[in-house]
Amino acid sequence: MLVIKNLTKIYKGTTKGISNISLHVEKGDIYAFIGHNGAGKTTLLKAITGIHPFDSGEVKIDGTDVSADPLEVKRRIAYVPDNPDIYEFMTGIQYLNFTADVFGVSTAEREERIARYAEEFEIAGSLGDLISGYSHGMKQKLVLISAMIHEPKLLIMDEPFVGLDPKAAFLLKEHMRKMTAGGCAIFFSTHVLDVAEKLCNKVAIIKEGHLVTSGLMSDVVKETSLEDIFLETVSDAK
Amino acid sequence: MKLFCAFFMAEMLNFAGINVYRYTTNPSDRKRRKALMWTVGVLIVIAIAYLAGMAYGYERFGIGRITPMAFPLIAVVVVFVVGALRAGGCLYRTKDRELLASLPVGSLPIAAARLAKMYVIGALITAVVLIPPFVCYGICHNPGILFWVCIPAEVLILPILPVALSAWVGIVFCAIIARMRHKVLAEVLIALVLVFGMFLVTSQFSAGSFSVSISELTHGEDGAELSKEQMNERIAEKAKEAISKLEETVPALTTWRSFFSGEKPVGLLLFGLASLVLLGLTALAIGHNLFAITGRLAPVAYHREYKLSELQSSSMTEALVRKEAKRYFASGVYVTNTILGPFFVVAIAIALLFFDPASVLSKLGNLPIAMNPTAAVPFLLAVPFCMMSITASSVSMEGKNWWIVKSLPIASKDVWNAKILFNLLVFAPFYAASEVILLFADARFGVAGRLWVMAVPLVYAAFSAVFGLFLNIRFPKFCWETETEVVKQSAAVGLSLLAVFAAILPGAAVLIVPEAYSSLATAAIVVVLCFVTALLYKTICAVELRNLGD
Repeated sequence: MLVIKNLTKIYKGTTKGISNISLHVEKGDIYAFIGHNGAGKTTLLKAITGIHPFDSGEVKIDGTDVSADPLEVKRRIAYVPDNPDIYEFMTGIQYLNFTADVFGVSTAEREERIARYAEEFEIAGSLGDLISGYSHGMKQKLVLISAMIHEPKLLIMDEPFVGLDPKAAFLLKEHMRKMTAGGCAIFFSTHVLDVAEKLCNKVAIIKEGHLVTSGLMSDVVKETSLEDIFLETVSDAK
Repeated sequence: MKLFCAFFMAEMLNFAGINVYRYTTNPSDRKRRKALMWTVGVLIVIAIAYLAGMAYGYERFGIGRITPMAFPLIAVVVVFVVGALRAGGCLYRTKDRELLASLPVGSLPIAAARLAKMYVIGALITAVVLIPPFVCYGICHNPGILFWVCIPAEVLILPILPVALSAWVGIVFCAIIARMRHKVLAEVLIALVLVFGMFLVTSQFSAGSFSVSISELTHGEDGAELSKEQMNERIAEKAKEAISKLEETVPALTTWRSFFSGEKPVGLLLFGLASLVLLGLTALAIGHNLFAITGRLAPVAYHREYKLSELQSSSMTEALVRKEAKRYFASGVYVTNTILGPFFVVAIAIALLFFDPASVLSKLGNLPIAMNPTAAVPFLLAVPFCMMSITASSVSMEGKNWWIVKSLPIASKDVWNAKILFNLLVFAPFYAASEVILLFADARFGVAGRLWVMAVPLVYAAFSAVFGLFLNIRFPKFCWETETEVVKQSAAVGLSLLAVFAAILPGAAVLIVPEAYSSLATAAIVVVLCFVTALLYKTICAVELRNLGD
């Protein structure tokens, strides 16, 4: 579903960025991407979603090259950023309707999905309010709903659990499992290592822009815990 | 005092973005800020040249004594209007209220520091408005050393009163806006009233005060055409009459003039003292109640239980244009800054119904006489469309939301088209209204004139929208704290003002072209502008939105 080959992106005038990263996310995978602050997680996620151009390498989603046909790629994926900076001048329902329009979701489908997700995430009653009045968690829920509205083949999320209440976090995990069971793939960054360990079948660890380790969760963790592996890896790796 | 200094330093630290410019490590950000500073510098030079030219014009017509009276008054009005409009975002700022309220300090030093910042801005405006005309006046009249010595004092004293008054008026505006359901509409209406009021007041002291019918200036009492020298004499004569009449009607103006002409320095000092007392009282009154005031002014989010009803789907373009509209109408400062121009188009059209083009030109631009004023009308209608294009800040206004457009499956061209289209949609009702109004003045323009009255503003509106977007794509600013930084203080917006010259200069050229060639000249300008617009649009369409922003 997602193939990253030798991806490099260095920010102009700095040495910050990511270097020579290769990854493979398959259908049905829940792939955790972990690393310390400033390691390059967000940079990689933004590069593969077509938000940032990259310097070299190749990113293919569902067989389509991100650089060659970014629009087609974006139609198949959804992106949830680390900070839910969304149009505060719109109401929740207006934002969801806007997203549905852009993805070409039919009226019947959007009504059914919005009603279902909004009920599940318990923000149905607030959809008529301006987003500027939402709490961080409510905005995060809205972004999650907008990401699921067109049923993407690949869901890319940047620290999706930040700001969610326990019930919403539980719901998100359930949805992630359901989506991957239906053939979707999920690639997300997180600092919540317990969740990553229990939820994901694959994991990648990044340090200072370089991929340190990646593969099946069971192969990476073995007899220890993800936390131990992470701490060990980021302190040892050069 | 220590606290006041600390808060004042904090207020002034990033004045005009200087602090960020000094310490930013982002080279493109640095470049953008440098471009902004250059733009502001160029605009200040243009303003200085214009004001000095205005004062020189007064001298040429022998009415130079109006300078020490009119320009301080203009400075007061401008400082007052700017202060009243900025009070909400500066003095009564609610954004950092909770942070400041948690500090172990009273609100007095905070309010005093904010008032001091407003005063510094007022003093800078006063310096630009006052010094160039006063230098011109000083050179022409040689009023003595006291006049020159008093100029710095005048620059420091003059803004005190309007800043104090604007603080009180600002609180009324903020209170009205906070209580209105449609806050943006209230904000825009208030700004419109203030700006048009300022325009009316200042126009009384421009050439408009001396406007007489054009035939009175160009023809003698026997109906014979006057020579250029005779016309100038006639204008000077009429202007002097008007000034004398004004001074007789409002005697206080003579006293006011004596304060600023170096004749009564004691009067100036007393005026300054009285202003200072008023500012001190204002600082005390507002300072002690600042947190209470800002608490009441803070916007309240109302919640109504939402019931999902039938949703409507629309095309990508429609959705994007609708999004642009919601963004636009959600920001009072955005609407206010860009809607004044189109309102001026309608105001000019109404004025043309009642006055001949020469009178309207003299009211607006200190052009009391012209060879071919009717031919300049299409350009007169085009200028306001170029004053502030919506597109010049529409990319920057995306701010932290830019990731949404970049991550969605939207072609860059669709995003640019939506922004241009929305700009034109905002202009459309004003254009239509002005054209309908001018239908009643049809006889004056003739068939060719009518065609240009329709075509020229339309072409300029399109040019303004495309040029604005072109600049904003070149100089985007996604990282900002307040919308004002983008809408009023960004490099793209500053540079977009150059579009006004693209309208004024050809308009001025047509003004002096003999009537027989005016249509040809206008047609040539329209063709060139269409070509430039098409070229800019092609350049815009080639820009990938993912290459903008970090």
